[in-house]
This record gives sequence, structure tokens and C-alpha cells, in this order.
Amino acid sequence: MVDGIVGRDFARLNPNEIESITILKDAASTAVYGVSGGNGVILVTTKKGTLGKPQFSYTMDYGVQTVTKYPRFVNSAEYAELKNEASINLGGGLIYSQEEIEKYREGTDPNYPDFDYYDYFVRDYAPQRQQNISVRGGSENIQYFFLLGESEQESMWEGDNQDYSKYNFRSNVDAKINDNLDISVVFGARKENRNSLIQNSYLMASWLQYSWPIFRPKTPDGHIASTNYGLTAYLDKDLAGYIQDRSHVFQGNLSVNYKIPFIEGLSARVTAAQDLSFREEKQWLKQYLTYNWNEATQSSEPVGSRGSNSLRLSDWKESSTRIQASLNYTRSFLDKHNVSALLLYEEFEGVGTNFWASRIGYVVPIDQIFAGPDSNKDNDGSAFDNGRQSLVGRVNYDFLGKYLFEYSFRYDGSAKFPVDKRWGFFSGISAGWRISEESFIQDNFTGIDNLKLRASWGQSGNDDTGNFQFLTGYTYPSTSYILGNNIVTNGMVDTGVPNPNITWEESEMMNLGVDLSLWKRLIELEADVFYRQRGGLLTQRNLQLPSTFGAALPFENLNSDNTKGFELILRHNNHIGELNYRISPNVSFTRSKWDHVEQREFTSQDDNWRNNNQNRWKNIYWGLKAVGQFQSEEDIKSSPIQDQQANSTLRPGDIKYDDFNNDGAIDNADRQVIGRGQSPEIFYGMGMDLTWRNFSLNMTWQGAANYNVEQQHFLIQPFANGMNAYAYFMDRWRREDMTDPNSTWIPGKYPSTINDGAPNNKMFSSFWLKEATYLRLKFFSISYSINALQKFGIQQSSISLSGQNLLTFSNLGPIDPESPSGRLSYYPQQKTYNLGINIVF
Amino acid sequence: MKSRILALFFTIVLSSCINDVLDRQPLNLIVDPDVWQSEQLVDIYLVALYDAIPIGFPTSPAAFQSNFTDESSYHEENPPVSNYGAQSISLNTGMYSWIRKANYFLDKIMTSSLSESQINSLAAECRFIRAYYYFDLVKKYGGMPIITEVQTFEDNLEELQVTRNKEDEVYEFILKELDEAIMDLPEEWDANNENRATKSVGLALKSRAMLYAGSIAKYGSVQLDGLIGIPSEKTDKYFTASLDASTAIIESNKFALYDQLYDPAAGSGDPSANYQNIFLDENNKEIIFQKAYSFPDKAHSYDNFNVPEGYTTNQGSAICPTLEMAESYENIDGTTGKFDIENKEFDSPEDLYKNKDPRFDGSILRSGSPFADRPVQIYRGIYDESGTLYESLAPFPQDPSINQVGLDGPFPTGNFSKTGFYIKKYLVTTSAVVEPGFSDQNYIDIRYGEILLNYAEAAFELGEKSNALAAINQIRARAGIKSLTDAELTLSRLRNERKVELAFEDKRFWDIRRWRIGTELFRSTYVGGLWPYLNYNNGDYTYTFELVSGYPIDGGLPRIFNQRDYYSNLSGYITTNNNIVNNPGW
Repeated sequence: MVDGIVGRDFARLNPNEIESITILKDAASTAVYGVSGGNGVILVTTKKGTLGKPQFSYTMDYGVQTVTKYPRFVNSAEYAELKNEASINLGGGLIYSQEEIEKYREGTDPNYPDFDYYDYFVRDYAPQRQQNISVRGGSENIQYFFLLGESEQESMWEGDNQDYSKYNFRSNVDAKINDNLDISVVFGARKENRNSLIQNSYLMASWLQYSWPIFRPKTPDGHIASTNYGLTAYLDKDLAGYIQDRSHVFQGNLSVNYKIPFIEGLSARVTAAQDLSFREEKQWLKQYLTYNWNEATQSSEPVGSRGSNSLRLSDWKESSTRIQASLNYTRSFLDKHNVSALLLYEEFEGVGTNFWASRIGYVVPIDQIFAGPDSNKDNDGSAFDNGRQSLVGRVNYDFLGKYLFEYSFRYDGSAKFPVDKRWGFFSGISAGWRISEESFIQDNFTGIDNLKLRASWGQSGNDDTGNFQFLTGYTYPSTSYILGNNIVTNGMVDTGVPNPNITWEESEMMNLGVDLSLWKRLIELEADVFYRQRGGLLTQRNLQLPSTFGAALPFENLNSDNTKGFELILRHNNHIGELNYRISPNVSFTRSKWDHVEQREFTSQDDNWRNNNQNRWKNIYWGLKAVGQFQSEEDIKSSPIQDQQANSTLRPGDIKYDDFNNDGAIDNADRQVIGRGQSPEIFYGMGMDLTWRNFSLNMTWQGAANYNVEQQHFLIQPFANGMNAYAYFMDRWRREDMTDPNSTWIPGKYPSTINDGAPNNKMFSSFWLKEATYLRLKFFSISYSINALQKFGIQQSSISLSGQNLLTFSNLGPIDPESPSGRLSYYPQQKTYNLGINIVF
Repeated sequence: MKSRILALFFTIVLSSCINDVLDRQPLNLIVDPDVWQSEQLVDIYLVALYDAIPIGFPTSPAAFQSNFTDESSYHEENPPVSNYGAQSISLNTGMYSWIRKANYFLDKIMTSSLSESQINSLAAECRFIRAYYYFDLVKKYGGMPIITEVQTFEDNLEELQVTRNKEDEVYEFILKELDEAIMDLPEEWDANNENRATKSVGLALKSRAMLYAGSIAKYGSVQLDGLIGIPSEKTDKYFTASLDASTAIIESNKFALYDQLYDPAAGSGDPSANYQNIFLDENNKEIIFQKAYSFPDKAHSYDNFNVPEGYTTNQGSAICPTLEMAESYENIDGTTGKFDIENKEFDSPEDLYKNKDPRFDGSILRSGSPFADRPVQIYRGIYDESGTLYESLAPFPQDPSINQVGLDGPFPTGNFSKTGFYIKKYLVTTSAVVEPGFSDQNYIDIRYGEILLNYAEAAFELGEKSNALAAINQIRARAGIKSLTDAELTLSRLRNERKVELAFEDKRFWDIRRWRIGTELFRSTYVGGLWPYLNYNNGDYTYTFELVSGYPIDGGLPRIFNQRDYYSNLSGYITTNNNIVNNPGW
């Protein structure tokens, strides 16, 4: 929520625009923010003008990004060695002779290259820059804040064809019209340009994995080689094309606040907010040729091509309008009873359209729509329309700031639901007791500055579900038929059985908390426990209707779950001489469980045990439990059957599984819970600020625990799908002399090499489920403020060095702990180093 | 003053509030109430229902029905023939979703603001389509639940777990629905709607469905209390219903046998080309009901699937006619079509085929058939002067201008025909269309020829032999072969006439079932082929032919039709409803 408006994306704001960020988690305070508040609310306020002379501020950051961790691939000699091993393991012969492997190792013979594609795809360092200038000030009646910002970030992909730049603009003005009337205008705009390769990061990472080191990407005279599928051409926009994305966002609020005369403490406020966004994307794809090198003629000959020449322009427009009108009342009676109340009406309308057009088969190399052939053009588009209406109320009362009460409610209507199901009523209450204000504390425990107990309960609703599921609707065009005269008529098909009862998903939360501050804030503590129950989660009734019914059942508000957890924040502020410091460690824990789950009936006790999720923790993994690796042929022979072929396909070093049901064979029935899922249950961190004279140092440590990552595909299978293999696969079980079936086995971390991995070793097991606990230095900065420039009119200036993700501790070896789980096809995580200056004058 | 301005401001803001914030319409869908007030949208609703009638060219080369009968064999080495009854052709639990859509249409059209006559006609059209859906179910499974209302789910699972109706009840339902639909269906449609159901189309489906019901009553046995099988006392009723429907079509004089390229009365023209053209000439008076196609928006891949191997680098050769099918074509003089090849040498393939029923060359590509830019070249190998056989895919050493094996096979591996024949019916022969999605021949579901055959069969079964003979001889005259005499017309000749005339038109699969002849036809039986060989003699070639049976045809697998295969497996329905009783043997 930015400046009172839900849904604005604060991550896209310039950090220098932001005055404050408040995170609300407890039940009662989120209730008032409604619809999206079920998971907590982040309140962001942009900077406002201040009373005083204009104050100009300029900041500039320049930095470089580099990859945190990313596994490397085998080199050519290792590639050949593993390929040989893979071949021999399946009864084949050597693919590369020892002599050839030697040539690959030396890398001097041009026919035996050793090419590092990681280096070719990923830059060592990519620059980024951000600067902005702002002015802030104002008089008694007019206060203002203006900002202009700019940033540019280059991509980690080699070739300098991908970057992201952004311009921010903000104008916030508050005017005091008279004693009773204030008007404020908040206006923010930004423009973002994104130039990308035609293949997204997921695919680019895959293409890197597909590139074998034994081939060069280009022929000797610089053409894209057909080996390795010619995939490196995607790095070059002149060869393969590009994607340009431009977006513009405008966000404005106009608020009028009127203190109603004659009734002390009562004011009325009206806010109108309008957000517009425009986005256009241009995809220019080019067909390119791939070449083979002809030794005889010493020239490159085209042998194939990839892609097609085409242009696609897409366009999105979205608009959302909000109007809020509220009455506020705040007053103290007898200096003891503090009362405040709010009644607010809000309505929201969101509309959007998108449209695209394309032409395929460009003959002339002009990247404009007019230049494409008439014969192969296409277009389509869609639109949406949404609305919401709410009435919100809140009453606060406290007695001497000692006993605090709050009640709030929302009455929300959503256009996504049918008329009689669209309104939801959600309320919340909270109470607080500042024990430290009581005399028995103040008299007996002087070290206690603040001790407060808090308790709250609140509800909220979620309408973020498919629209119009209560209506019978038809998708058109769907199947077609020729009714006559060779005219193809498009048909329409219904979207399924409507649910006339679809309504809000509801969430109910309870919090208990304590705030404690000791010895003049030397030590502060905030502790919270919470329990959240959600109901009416949409799911399809898991009930097998007979095929003769002729349709599937719609989504209904049936499932429920609950989540519990706690959070603890400690703060320690102190100074030793001129050294001021603050340390604030924090830890949180959450875990979720299903309550009711719509599921089929279970056919046996075993089936029930394995598949019934009712009242079961979420976030667990089922699979085979690895109990080690086979140490010898004897070990294989004396173990339960794993391959349904009397273990004849197994080799020493292959993964050995636990025979859970003791039936002498490993199969699906041996699957058991092997660990936690991919969502961390524990988060921890620590902030640390130190200042000494003009120096200050900030650090943020962050980490997570109690979760796993499941490694898949080419992370666990060397040469999966005809790809290259990661270098860590060299540490494997192998024979001393691979050509001699009687030579001894040398143990290693991974099984012996099989192209695409041996079926036994690919089965999902705890061998590939990695404990992902980590701790990293998320942010570090050291800065120095320069006083000497004040005589030049510069009130304040500082210079800083900072970095992100500078240190990481985890068990995952070469894989970044914050990378998406699984296949490792993603844009690499980055470390950054920044130099910043800040001048205020 | 100030407070007035202020009041004005609040008025502007509040009056600009959106009046009906919560009353929104989906912008990417057509909403239901709009449909029933619009002629165009109602037609568009029917478009999907028409398209769901299970007729048309298959989307996979493995799914041609004729490859599951004795008409042809799929070229692949492991064709899906050994499991006759369980084919995906016959398994489809999706039909009831279309029945539901049809039932919904029939509910809603009654509330429509269209005129009463429009409503009646549209309802009749939808009932025809729904009757077609039920006919598809009953011919696959026997009796199936008859559902005519849009079911709703309100914790009434037991009520929804319906039981099967009797096979006879389903046929009675189809009969009643068609009879009532025929009354309200239009006589004619304009050209823009020429493929929609008319009275004649309703009658034509009735002719076919009642013929099936009659034969099941006569040749099948009642099992599972009538869930499958029809009491034999209803035989005459159903044959009579079929005969009446056929008679009405014949007497309407709206349709006739195609005769653009051959005049049977004068005996002038090319009967073979005439027969071939029935399936390529889109303006022809023989067509009663068809599924039309148009390139590129609604195209199919029939040519891509079926082009002889030598013309394509894609995978063609899906339908390879069998020896048994080829021999079912009589000679022009009405004598048996068995090939007389033993110890005979021929100067050219034409010598072998010259007396064949012209429909043979109208339906099947054989060695020497004209096709695209060269004649089809089919021979399995070459014997040199010393009697040594050359039979690999390489040039013939004595005459490197030709290969040891014909450009179109036959050859035991790869995509070549294994039987020595390729399909011609429906195929474009003026050029080789090899790319998928480039064909738009219309699929003829019901043509006048079938109505004459339905008439002949029903008349024969009812003992009206002379009427049957007249109809059969109309078919034979148009084909260009000798008429039959009353004495020559037997049930087996009548059925053979149907097999030949309607070959590869997806009719025999169901004929085999309703005549209950499957178990006799495929008793661990190998289908055969006819392989030409060249004999090299000092620069000249002569032809000899060899009969082949078993490997490599059908991958060397025998075909078995079990008793249970007269009805398909209902397991797909039973998993969701235990009240469905499966057919015997499944």
C-alpha cells in the first residue's frame, strides 16, 4: 500500500522517494486494510515537503554486479573421459582415444578445442548506476517535495544486448488553504525500458547447459557454428533479434482534508486516486544461418537455420480508479479518555485491455510492422473489468495510554462474486495493556521503560480468484465447422458448470505479543505468537461424478488450512565512548497444516497413510530414503532388489535405498517422508549499525533454515538430454582403469557416469534432497560524512562503499541458496559492489 | 463562499463515484443470456455440436478404422490389430459432455425470443445431433443411460449414478427422436447452410440406425437382461423402419448416384474415374450428409497420412489395402475377383487388373496406377536371368537405372506398404500432397449409394428380394460391372457389394459387429498382400506375383476378434459409476 492506495508496487519506487515503510502483521490492524491484508500489510509513505528553506539533495551510486555462485562445467578432456566412461558402463567401447583426450587437455590443436561456455555466456562484471536529485522545503502554507531519478542496470549475459533503465519523477505538494482546509497532491511517474535477448533467462541458462566444450561457438571466419545447435547466436541481437519492452506508469492522488468547525476533533477527508499504466513490447525475431567449416575451401558453408523472421508488437493499457471518503474523529476527554473513530467509504474500478499484432516471414530487414508481408499477419486481444466497494470503520479508546482497545470492521463487495454472495463482513478487535504505566511496576522495577501486552483477533477476505465463475459463459472462438459454402464458422463452448455460491476466501488470525524496553532502551524486545486459520479456499470437489454427468464440478469454497508461528526481535543500543552501536537480531518460525482437504476416498490403510493430507503438515517431501552408495558388487548382491532385474543393472557407487516395508524390493511402496519441503520454516537475521565520529557501518545478515531444495534433471544427471555435465560429476565412483572390468573401484561422491543418469539414480530420493539452510551478508555498507565542505554551502555530504550478498554460508556448494529450486535454469543471483555519494545543499 | 466552493468540490468528487461498481460483465467471454436472443449466436452454439458428431478424417495415421477390419493394414511394424475391441476408436467417455451441451440447448432454446418456427426447427436440428451422439454410443457399447435433461449436482451423487438402459431402449429412443425431428427439420437449406441437417439427413440416419438395430435383433443375442442385444421379434420392425426411411429418400428424388464421368445407361465414359470422383467432386448429388473441410482454417492431413512412401519424406502409407479386400472386387463380368497368378507371367500389371471391377482402380493404388508425376512403382524384387533374386534397397546391378525394390516398396521395414497396395479413395492423385494440414477433401458420412445398399439389405432381410436386386443392380451398373440375376443375389453377395462399394468409408468396422461375423473373420488370422516381382531378361521385364500372408504385414501378428469385441469395454464409465455393468468378457 503506497500513500493509502492498495496494490501500488513499492519495489519499483526509487528508494529516495520513500519516507517510511511500516509492516503491519497483527490481526486487528490488518483487518482495516481488508482484501489483500490477510498476509500482512506493508504501508509505504512517500516523502512530503517540510517546513524550511529548500534543501537540495543529490545522490549517486555506481556499482558492479557479479555472479554469487554458479556451478561450472567439465572441460573438454573431462568431457571426453566421462563420455568414455558412460559408453563403457553400458557395454560400449571408447569414444575418445587417450591421444584425443590428451589433445583436448592441451587445447593447442584447433580441431580439439577446450571451450569455456560459461565464460562466453556470463560476464565477470556488469555495471549498474543510479542517481537522483530532489528538493524539499516549504512555508507554513505550502510544502513540497520534488524528485527526479534515473538508473541503469546491465545484464550478466555477455554481449551487452540486455539492459534495464528507469526514470522516476515525483511531485508531492501539501497546501494549507485555511485553518480548516488542507489539500495535498501526490504524483509519481516512472518510465522503464528493458532491452532483452529473445530467449528468456530460463532458456539462456538451458542453452548454456546444452553447449559442449569440445566445439567452438563459431567457425574460424566468425560464423555461428552448427555444432552445439548454434545456440550462442541468441546472445547477439544483430543475428537473432531482440525484445524491447517500454512501460510508463502514472500514479496520482488528490486529497482534501476538512476540519469540520464547531465539532472539535472531527474532520472529513476525500481522496481520489488514479493509476494508469501503459506497456508496449516489440519482439523482433530473426532467422539466422548456422555454418560448417570446410577445410578444403577454408570457408564456412551454411548448413541450417534457426528461427523465423517475424515481428510482434504487444500493447497493454490498465487503469485503476479509487475514491475514498472518510470521517475522522479524535479527541481526549478529561485528559484521560482518548477516543478516535474512523468511518470510510471506498470504491475501486480496474479496467484493462491488451492487444497484439504480428507479421511473419519478413523479407526486408526492417523491424517495423509495415515492412512485413501482408500474407501472414495476425492479431488478438483481450480486456478485463473489475470493481470493488467497501465500508470501513474503526474505533479506538484508551485510558491514560494504559489500557488500549480497538474495534474495526470492513464490509467489502466484490464484482467477482454473484449478487447475493459478493458482500463479506470482516472485523477485528485488539487490546493492549501497558503494565509499565502501573504504579506497581514504576515503583518496583525502575529499569523497565516500557512493558506492554497485546492481544488481537481479526478477519479478512480474499477475492483474488477467477472472475465470473458464477456465470455460464462461452469461450469463442473454439471448435469450428463448415455449415455451408466452404465458409468456416467458429463455434463456442461453455466454460463449465458455474458456481452460483462462489464467495470470499476467509482468514482469521489471532496474535499475542509483548513489547519490553529496559534501561532506557538499552535492550528492547518484541515477541509475537500468531495463529491463522483460512477457510473457504477454492478447490474442485474431489468427488468423481459419473461420466454421464457430462461436466466437471466448478471450484467451490471448500478447503481450509492453518498456520502458526512466532517472531522475536531484540534490539540492543549502546555506546562505548564515541562508538555508538545498535544490534538487532530477529528470528521467526512458521508452519502450515491442512485442515480440510477435498480428496478422493482412500482404498487402503497404506493409501490413506501416504495420500491423505487432512490435518497433515504442508511442506514435506515424500521419496525413497537413500542409505548410502553401494560399496562393492557383494554389497549390491546382498541388498534388496532395486531395479526389478535382480540388481543386475547396478554398479558400485549407485544409490542404495532403504527397504522401508522390508519386502526385499525397492518400489513406490518404500517411499516415505524424507524431509521438509521448499518453504523455509525459520527465518533469521541481524541488523547492525555502528557509528564512530564521521564513520558509520551498516550490516544486514539474513538466513533461513528448516527447508530443502530438490535437485532435478541435469543437476543430478550428467549429460541429461544431450547436455553438458557439471564439473562436480568428476567426483564419482569409477574404475581405476575404465577399460579393465576387473580393476578396482575408486569411490567418489556421485555414481559412475551414465548418459542421462542411470534409472536407479534418477529416482527421487533423499540423495538429491539438500538441506538448504544458509546465512548470508545481505547488505554491507561503510560510509564517511564529510563536514569540511560546509563552508562551500554544502550542509551535508557523505561517501559510502556498499555491497550486497557479499558473504554466503550454505551446504549447497556451488549453488546459490536463494536460487529457484530444481533445475538451475535461471538468471544467476548477483553480488554487487557500490560506490555512493550523497550531497545535501 | 468558501464553504460553498467546498461543498461544490465534495459534490463533484462524490457524484463522479461509479454508480454500479459491482455490476461487471466478463469481457473475454460470451455470456449465456446473450446467446438465446441472437440467431447468429444460436447457430454458433450448434457449430460446436455439429463438429462433435464423431465423423471425419482422423487426426492420427494410426486411427483409420479400415485398418482394424479386413479392408487394410497399417504400415507400421506393430500395428494395433491384436486388441481389436479396446481401441481408442471405440473408447470415448467424452460423448456425454456433448449430450449435456445438447440437452442445455434444448432447454434454453425454448426460452428464446426467436420465432416459434425457428425454435422448432433449431430444436429438431439439435435433437438430430443428439440422436447421432446416442447412435455412436449404442453402436459402441450397446445400451447406455439415456439422459435428456441437464443434470445438476446437489449432493445427489447416488441419483446421478444412473444405470444403463437396454440396447433396444436406446434404439427406440433414437427412432422416436429422429421421427419427431424429421417433422420439424427443413426440407432444404440455402447454400450457406448446406451441410446442416434436413429432413433427408434425418431420414438417412434413421435408415442406417434402424438397419443396425434390425441386424442386431436378427444376428445378436440378448444378454445382461437386454443391456446388449435386441429381442429377435423386433427384427422386422427395425428393418421395416429402415426400409421406409430409405424409400422416402429414394422417392424424394433429391439425390442420385454420381454419374458425371460415366453414363451407366449408355455405358460411356470412365466408370473408374467416375467412382474416384465421388469423393473429390464437392458438388455432387450423391452426398446426403458430410463434414466439410477448407484449407487452411479447417484442414486435415489425409493426403499426408496416405501418400505412397516413394513420394514423400514424411510418413505416409497409413491405409494399405489387403489382398482380401482387393479380391473382394469382382471381375467386370461378375466372376470371382480371386487373382489368377499361379505360374503366370505378365507383361505389365495392367494385364492382371484389366478385368477388375472399375471400383478397384477407383479405390486402390496398385503397381502401375497413375499418380502425380510417375506411375506407382511397386515390386518386391528382381529375378535376373539366372533366377537370383535382388531385393534390397539398392540399384539393380544389371540395370542401375532402376532399384531392386520398387520406389513404393513393398519392403519389410520402414514406411513402405507391406501389402503391395496403397489407398486411392479420397486421395488427391494429380499431385503428391505430402505436408500435414494441407488437405481439405470433404468427408462424406452418408451418400445415396449407402441408402441404396441400406434399402437392398433391409428389403433382402424382409424377403423382398426383387426390390433388393433392383437396388443392388443400380449400384453395379454405376460401378460398370455386370448386373446380378435374381438367382445370383445371396446374402453374402449383397454384403460383399456393400463391402466393396463402401470400402474405406468407416462403415465396415460397424458392419462386422452388427452382422456378428468378427469371430469368424479373425480367428487368429493373418491378412495378406500381393507382391509383384520383376523378371529381368536381357533388358526386358516381365511381372510375376506372389501372395503374402503374415510377416511383414501387421508386423507378423495374427488378428483375433474375441466374442467380447462386439461391444466395447465400459471400464472408463465404471471408474466413476459402479452402477454401470460392464459388457461380457471385459
